[in-house]
Amino acid sequence: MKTNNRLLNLISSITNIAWYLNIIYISFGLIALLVLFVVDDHVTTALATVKFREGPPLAAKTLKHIAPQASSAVIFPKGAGITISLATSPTIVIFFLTVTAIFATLTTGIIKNLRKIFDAIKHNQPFHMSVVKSLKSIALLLACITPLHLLYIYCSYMIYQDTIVDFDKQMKMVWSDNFIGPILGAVIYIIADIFKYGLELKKETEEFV
Amino acid sequence: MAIIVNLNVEMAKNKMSLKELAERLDISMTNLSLLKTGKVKGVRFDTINAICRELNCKPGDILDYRPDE
Repeated sequence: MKTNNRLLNLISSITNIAWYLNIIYISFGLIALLVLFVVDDHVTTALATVKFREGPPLAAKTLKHIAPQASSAVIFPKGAGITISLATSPTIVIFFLTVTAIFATLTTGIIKNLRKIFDAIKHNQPFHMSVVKSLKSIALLLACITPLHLLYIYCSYMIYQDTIVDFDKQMKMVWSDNFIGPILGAVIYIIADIFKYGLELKKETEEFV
Repeated sequence: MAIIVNLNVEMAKNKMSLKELAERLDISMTNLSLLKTGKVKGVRFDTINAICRELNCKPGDILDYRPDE
């Protein structure tokens, strides 16, 4: 029996589309990244956002002076993203592949568990231990986003320090991150735990005649 | 389990089959069978009331207590 909730069906369909798009995106992304590393000896990329200690000075000339590898800078209200050209050393390759793999795992994990929950609802079996497990997995993955992002900023900082002349004198990293991931994760974990308690109560009721 | 269900005795006294009693109590044969074999976690007062009504007996006739050895 299928559920008649249109909104639920819509969200479920969007999740399914996101699942397939995510797989395509990850596959092509990883292949493109590997090809780029093999073909080119430099990779041009924007890392984590930085702030200029004396305001945004950046004429291209100044930027070239302080960061010979930097090709451009985009100024945001809270900082700037410097597009930088990095030699494809093993460290850089491992860094980018790890970052891609981690965030691909996070998104894939979240979407996969969402699909499991929607499947359970569609088959009229929302009160199942697998749904609790899926909810807890989503909570854990969401909670991981902020620490991993902070780790990414730290790695970017290390790369900037290596490539930009007097990085610490000229600029500083923007460390701020919103904590929506861990907060959402905590909320979902609590809901999952309440759900588990409800599941146990239901099971107990079913054992009564 | 120290609680013994003597439902089969009362059913035999009333010459009532499991199927017939299940229909009269409006519960599934599976659940009644589980109750008869003492494999349930609990029994509702509603169910005991209906059983006593249909089998013309008292709760003590259906349920007995024998301490575990």
